[in-house]
Amino acid sequence: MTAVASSAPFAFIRHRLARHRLVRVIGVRLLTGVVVLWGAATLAFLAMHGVKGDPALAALGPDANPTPEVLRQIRLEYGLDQPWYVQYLTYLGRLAHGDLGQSYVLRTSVATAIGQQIGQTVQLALSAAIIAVVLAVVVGTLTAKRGPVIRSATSGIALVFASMPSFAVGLALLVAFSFTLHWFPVSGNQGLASLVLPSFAMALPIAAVLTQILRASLEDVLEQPFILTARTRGMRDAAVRVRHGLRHALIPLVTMTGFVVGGLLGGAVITETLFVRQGIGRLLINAVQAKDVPIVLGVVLFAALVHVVVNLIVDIVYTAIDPRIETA
Amino acid sequence: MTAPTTPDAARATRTSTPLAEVEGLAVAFGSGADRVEAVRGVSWRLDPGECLALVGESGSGKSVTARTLVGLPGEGAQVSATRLRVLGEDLLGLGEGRWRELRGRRVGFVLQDALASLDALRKVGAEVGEPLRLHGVRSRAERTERVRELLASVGVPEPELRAAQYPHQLSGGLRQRALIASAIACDPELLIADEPTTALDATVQRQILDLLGTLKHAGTGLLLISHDLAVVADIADRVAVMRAGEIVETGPTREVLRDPRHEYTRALLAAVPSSRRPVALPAPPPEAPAAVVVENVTKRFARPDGGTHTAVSDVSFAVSRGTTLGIVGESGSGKSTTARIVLGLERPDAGRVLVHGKDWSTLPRREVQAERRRIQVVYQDPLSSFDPRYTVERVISEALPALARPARRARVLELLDQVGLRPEHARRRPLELSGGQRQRVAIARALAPEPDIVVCDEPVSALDVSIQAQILDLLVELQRRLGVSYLFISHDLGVIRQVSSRVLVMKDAEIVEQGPVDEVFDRPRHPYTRRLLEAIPDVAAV
Repeated sequence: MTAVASSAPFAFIRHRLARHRLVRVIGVRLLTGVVVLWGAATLAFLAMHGVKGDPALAALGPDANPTPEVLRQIRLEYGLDQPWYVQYLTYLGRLAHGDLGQSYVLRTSVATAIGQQIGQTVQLALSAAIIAVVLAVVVGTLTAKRGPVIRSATSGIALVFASMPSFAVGLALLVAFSFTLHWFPVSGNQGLASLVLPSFAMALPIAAVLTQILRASLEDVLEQPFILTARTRGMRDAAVRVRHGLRHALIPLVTMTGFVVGGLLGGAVITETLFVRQGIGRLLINAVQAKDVPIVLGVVLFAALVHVVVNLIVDIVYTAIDPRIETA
Repeated sequence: MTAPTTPDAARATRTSTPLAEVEGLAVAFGSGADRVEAVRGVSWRLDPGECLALVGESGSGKSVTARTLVGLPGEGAQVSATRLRVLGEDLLGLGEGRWRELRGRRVGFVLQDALASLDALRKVGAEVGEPLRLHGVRSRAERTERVRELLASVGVPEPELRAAQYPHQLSGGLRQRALIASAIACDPELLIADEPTTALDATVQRQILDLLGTLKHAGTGLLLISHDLAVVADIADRVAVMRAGEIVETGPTREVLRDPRHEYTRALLAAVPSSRRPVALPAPPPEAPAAVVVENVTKRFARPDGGTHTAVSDVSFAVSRGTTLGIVGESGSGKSTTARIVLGLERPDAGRVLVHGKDWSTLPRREVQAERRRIQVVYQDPLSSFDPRYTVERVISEALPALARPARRARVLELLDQVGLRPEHARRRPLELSGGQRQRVAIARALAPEPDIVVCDEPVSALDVSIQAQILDLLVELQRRLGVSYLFISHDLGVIRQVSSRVLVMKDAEIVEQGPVDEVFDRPRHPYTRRLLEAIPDVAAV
């Protein structure tokens, strides 16, 4: 019933409207993004105010032993004497102006502290994401609808990696490639070589999950009549998989990748600790231990922002993969 | 389009070497106890400019036979034959490289349902031009030009525009033409078409058959696969009737259709809807009151681009108790929306629907819920409306009013008996049933709450012709016994004619003609009705 062919004079208008629809989708995404950020900010605020211990004490740093007079001064300075809702609104108002506040411990602005660490973490998360997606696409495409031996071997390997926590994968990689083979440094932030092991430690469990998802959806696609049509035109099997199969199978992969990449920041905490790397993860752990509220809130907001941006990209990628989403 | 030469001229160019020769072909799948012999001892030959039709119902092995000719019989197929030659190539033991040279270039293949058979994510032009790209036309500009010519040659208007669109933006008929254009892109000597017109509306089916006929007259050998003898009647030179993997009868089309020797061929012919005489319908009660009255109903939908689309426009009709009103129309004509409005699933924007004299649109929701029991529905594909984990008993029980357990069970068995199923079917699950049995279960479920009206929305369109006939007979029989009224929707005029006492023809959201079935079919007044009737392939016309 929906197969109404558009006639020529309207094709141009339809195209314009399709563009409009994409703009609207992005607009809605941005609005919900703001809501997500507000929610994240509120949750972070509540969580940190529920924590036991005196934030005024924390604000002076770990080794301070202040007099009650000094503490009162501090409370006044940071607005901690105000009722919670005043604190909350002040906090939101500052956020709206892009002011994340001052770190209690580092004596710099939160933005500066995050800015100093962000590069390392983005490098790590991006390389892990790329490795995971490339591995998933290559292995998934090669093994879909193959013999039982190939399929169960790759499924087995994937299952092992998918069920291993990333620190265990990291330890295994360290033992094999650093301690035994000495190919890569054990720790640190020096150059590409130091990025390889942590990236793979983060990427392998993700790649395992993505491979299974891609392969399952590719196997469904390869059953479709249009695949048979492509073969009857004289196309090679490899070309059929890549040119016709892969694009159809990518939608679930992109969805999952969106989820996973959003979560890579959380994964970075463990990996950065294991490989003794600078980065957002380390920053967060230190801040939590020192009750450095502004830093924790800043990182939480940053993570939420990453989620919003990644999902926006996922939506745009959808329309690039499947023109029907735009023009249906 | 290339000017069709006469059949005689085409025959004159026939060489002594056949396009395809098949002798003792056997195709089996699986091994041991699971081994299924899909094709057994099949032999035929096809000459240039000739059309051979393989006819049979689902599972008869006709598609497997066709796919074997391009080396794609399916996963794990074991193929053997005493002779298997296509275009001079011995297919037995042919290497993968040689297969690829044959596919697309010398043998074109058209599958059923172009929406699923064209890659939905690629533009029509890319799909049509793919065989060219695979077989040596490297220049993009040259391909674009060839695609334009190909689309024009199969009768696609505005070929440049269509080439730049995606398959879902084309109508069913244009899509099927595009699929055929892609199959003939490299000018193959042999064209295999597997159910090329199934699921298409009658007038579109007519156009596609004419297109295939033109190709045949131009000298292309055509292997046509179909479940419908009427479809092949006016295009095939010879027919091979397949059943359970074997050819049961073969010969010139005229002979096979006029004077079928095998009992199965006769059964197939008898089941062709357009050739079946209308069944004796139960006489309606003397002054049958109306079960459903639809008055001036209009329904509009908002289009995604902001405009409105009128799906149903000022439609009025009545269904008398114990009779059948057939609604016929092609896809997009508004017949399914009309059904949804009668079922109370859509609210009309204007007009009203009276069920037993009550206006649903003014009734409070709770009363509509109570009334809803009296009007039930049977869809084309019951599988998608069954929970696959439920047994048949549970599927039907769900539709029953609250009853004690033994009484409920007894009622389920009674319903199964009414629709011609046995008590043991109660324990089966939907996937363990055949298509015809599933449709019987759907009918039993529809009858469970003892409705007065059953809306049948394309109830036999997905079934093989012989099963179709059985289901239609069952519906008529149930009407006779239970006195239910049917609102029967179909794109197939043959089906409509068999079961309806009155018929209503819809086109572009409007009723163009309605009246007693014989009057509409024998003396159609509206030109559109005439066109629909002319488009029906007719076995008797051979």
